[in-house]
Amino acid sequence: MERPGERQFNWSNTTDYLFLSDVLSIKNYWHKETLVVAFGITIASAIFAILLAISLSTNIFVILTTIIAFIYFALVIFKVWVVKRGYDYALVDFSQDQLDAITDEELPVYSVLVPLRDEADVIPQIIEAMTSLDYPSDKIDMIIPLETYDTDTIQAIEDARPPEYMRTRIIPYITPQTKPKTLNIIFPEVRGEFLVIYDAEIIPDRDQMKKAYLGFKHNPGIACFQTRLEHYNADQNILTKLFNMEFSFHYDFFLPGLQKLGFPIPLSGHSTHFRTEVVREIGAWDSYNVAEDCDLGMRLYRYGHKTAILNSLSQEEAASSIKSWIQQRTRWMKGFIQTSIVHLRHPLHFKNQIGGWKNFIAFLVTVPGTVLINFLNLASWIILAAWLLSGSNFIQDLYTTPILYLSVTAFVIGIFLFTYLNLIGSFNRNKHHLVKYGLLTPLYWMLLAYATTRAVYQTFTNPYVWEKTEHGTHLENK
Amino acid sequence: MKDVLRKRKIEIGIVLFTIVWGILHAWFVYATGLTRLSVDQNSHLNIARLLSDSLTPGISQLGFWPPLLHIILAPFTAITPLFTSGLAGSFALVPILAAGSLCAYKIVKEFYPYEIPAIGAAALFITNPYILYYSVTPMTESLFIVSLLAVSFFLIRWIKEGKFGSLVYLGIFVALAGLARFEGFLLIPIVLTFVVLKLIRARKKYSEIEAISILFGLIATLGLGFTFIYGIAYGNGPLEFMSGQWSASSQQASLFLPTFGDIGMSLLYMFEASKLMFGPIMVPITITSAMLLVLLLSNTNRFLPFLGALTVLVSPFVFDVLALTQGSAVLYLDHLAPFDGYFNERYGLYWYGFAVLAPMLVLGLAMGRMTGILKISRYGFGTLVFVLLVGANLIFLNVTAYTDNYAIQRGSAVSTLPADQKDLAIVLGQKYDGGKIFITRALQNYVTIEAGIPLKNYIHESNDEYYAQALGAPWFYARWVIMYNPKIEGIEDWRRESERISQAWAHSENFHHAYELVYENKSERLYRLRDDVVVQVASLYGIDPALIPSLNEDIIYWDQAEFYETLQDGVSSYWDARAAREQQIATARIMNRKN
Repeated sequence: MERPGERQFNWSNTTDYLFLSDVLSIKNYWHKETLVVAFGITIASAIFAILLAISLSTNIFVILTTIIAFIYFALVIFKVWVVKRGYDYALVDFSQDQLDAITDEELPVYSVLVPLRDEADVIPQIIEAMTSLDYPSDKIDMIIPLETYDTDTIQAIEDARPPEYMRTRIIPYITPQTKPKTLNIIFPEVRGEFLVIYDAEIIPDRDQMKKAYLGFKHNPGIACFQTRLEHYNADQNILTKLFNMEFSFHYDFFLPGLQKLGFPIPLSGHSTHFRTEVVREIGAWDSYNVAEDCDLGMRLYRYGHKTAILNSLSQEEAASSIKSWIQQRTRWMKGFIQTSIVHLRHPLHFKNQIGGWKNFIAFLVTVPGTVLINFLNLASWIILAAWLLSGSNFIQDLYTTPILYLSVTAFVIGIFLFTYLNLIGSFNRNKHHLVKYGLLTPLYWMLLAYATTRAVYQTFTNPYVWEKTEHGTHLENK
Repeated sequence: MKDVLRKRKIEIGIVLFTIVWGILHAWFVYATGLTRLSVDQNSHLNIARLLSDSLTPGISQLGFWPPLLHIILAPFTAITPLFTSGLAGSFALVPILAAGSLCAYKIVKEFYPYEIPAIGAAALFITNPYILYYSVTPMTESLFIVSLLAVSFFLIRWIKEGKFGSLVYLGIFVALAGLARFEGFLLIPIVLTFVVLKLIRARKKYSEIEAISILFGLIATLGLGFTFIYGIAYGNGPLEFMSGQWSASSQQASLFLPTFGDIGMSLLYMFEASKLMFGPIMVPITITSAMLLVLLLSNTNRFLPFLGALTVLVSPFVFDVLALTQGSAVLYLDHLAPFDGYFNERYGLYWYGFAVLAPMLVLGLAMGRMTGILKISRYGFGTLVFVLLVGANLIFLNVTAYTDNYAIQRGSAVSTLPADQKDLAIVLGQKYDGGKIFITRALQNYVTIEAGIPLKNYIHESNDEYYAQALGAPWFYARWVIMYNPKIEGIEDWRRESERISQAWAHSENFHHAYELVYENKSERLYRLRDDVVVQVASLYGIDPALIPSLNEDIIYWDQAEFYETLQDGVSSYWDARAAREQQIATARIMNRKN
């Protein structure tokens, strides 16, 4: 088992640009360790449930619903706790005066990676966004990797005539066809002291890089800054409205809560700023993980680094069609499953690396727990609907009185509270007109449950497929 | 921490003083035997206890009364001595009294910076004898009034500062007020109106007004939503709390309604009730103060918060006037028709929150306007008014509580029913040797508390199927049966008809064959099972007597559906066999005749 600091990564020796050892990558799913852990937990749980059922003279399904009720309740309580801590937590931020006081001379070279694939439609927008950044161009090391076969995007970028400091780099066709692989190919060429990734459709706050620079300068213990995300097409349709509300909650309450409590933070795939040396130290991205951001966030903590939330917005495009949204969310959930598998291969070792039981439990709740709660939501709705429609005694008997109370309390309070927090999220961002749509949040969760189910299915059938999110649909409506 | 203590020393002092004051009064009320006087007090205790101690414990036991009191009582009624003594009410409600005095203090401070009127409001609140009485006995009144004060406080805060936190608390207390008493549901539109008014005055955009209304409304309607869903789940529909068998309107249907259809008469009754509850001088002082405040504040930025508080605190008065006029509520006062003692006189107390604020707000306003030479006498004047008003309340308290020992409350409990139920409870407690007791609990609340038997040993109406099955054949389920004596006199038709056990079995030969009468008084009867009869019946039906709840006292809980099926199978087999036997005999007879 590889441990942090034990290995120097060789940045040029692989055919798939995976610099991590097998055990830290999802390239090979079913490691011996994974199987041992998975089977061990399954068999131990089954034996425990059977013994409990025998000793309590009850049905095994009753034990199962009891365990599920406790897990569900614990997940809700944990999330509420995190949000409560994050609600009014002051993010890392700097005043305009502080930003104005920075001289160009003191600024370090900052690498900006903008991986593009099938993004011809948004080229003018990304070039405008990148050229608007308030950072001296001679200190920007911008690399735009392009796929060799993606001639439309290559042509579009040529037509757009980007400034010289924006270097394009045509990368060869290499599997897996994922963003982390692309990032890994160009990472050895990165020159900046700091590094940020922007996706094709991103419009970051102009002063974001300067803020991040100050953030790194004033917080030497922080290796990564996650910015807050926002959607510029939030009003496109009901789906984008709900998506936007979810993000408001996630980036304004939940992630700050994780930061305040010192828990590992699952990153987002773009607008994350790193110290380049740290990314190098931890072996860069897992080319095979379809939520490489989440994985990287966890790996940072394994190597003893910390992430913080920077009070700066990055505007992105919300997936605006149900198909596109489901594909994107399936990828995210699949990536969460992959990240869970990778990091739980040696659970106790991982627990020690990530900072003890507290952080380990936080990981369980935020990564596999996110997948699990989507499933439990789905299961709860199905069971509730089945009971309401059939009045089945079998279902009724599964829930003994205390478990029924626990389940109903967690379910009802969970639905109300998290719907309400979504509304507050939008309200706090002054998106008052969205608030009423937040009442549809439970329907949005049903979509989420479907995408999670799809993700589980794909984990077995198509683990590395990267269902790319379509960008630029908002431009069609303009 | 030290800073907080120093900054809030008066608030902490008010809370601590109120708690000590409340405890002393709780002790006085308990020592004079007034803690568990009325049917309602006993009923609240029973319901709260049933949540944990019942054949079917849990939320189903909440019933269709406002549930908040029962929920906060539940942890205390679970402790048997607090349940049987009624002191569970004091434990739960004295902290609520303290919260009320704190709210009164803080509301006045929201308007004026002076301590004297603010402390005066708190003092007026805790020196009213009825506020005190209902804060140390298990009743909903003080809980409701305090929740109104809390709603007023956060409404004022919201109007003044517009902070989101105040809006959330405002919503929470509106929801709680509705769960404390159903009159509280009226606060939803009232408070929403003021929330919107404030936003319109601040020239907010429509989208923001809409968003804030949704954010407030979602929380404020939680109580109403819970009541509707509860009605659907456990009753006959969302409005079960208004029209169900045990609702106030059902109970009062056969009563004489002196205020029905006459709003003037309703106002008269309510003012007279308020005079009784507030003391002789507080009603005119409150009304005069209110008029002065309307006049003097109308052109100031304090007017909207004042109007909000006024509307919230007076809303139950308006609600009750309308309910009295419409005939869905009844209020009797000794000196008004039908001159038959007191009933629901406490309706007059519900707007007392406003009575403690209005004069003290006038005092604060007057102190603020004392300028020049008068400024020197500001605090002297304040102290004088404080002493006069609080002194008058203390005299009223002394007369009502310590001299008359709450004559009205004692007068309301003169019916023979409680005494007869208590007597029966004593006999039951002495003779009880295990097994289930079949009873209509809502009509015999004294029995379940006084007998000292765990409530899980009773089969009563909120055990639903168990009660329904026991009503069909009590001898299979209950070892003991308590019912109204069919000769009972002087009770309302509703009460007589709702006592379904007496209705079904008082004149039944089968019942009297299975049970022997153990005790009887003018109102009540207690029966005990004749085991041998039921054993005979069981063997006839081929049912193992050990499976029969009435015969086997070890059976505390049983699957009612399963047992009912066993019973039905036994009865069917018996009747099938009997029919077959009769057919056999008939066939044999025919054959014999042929031969």
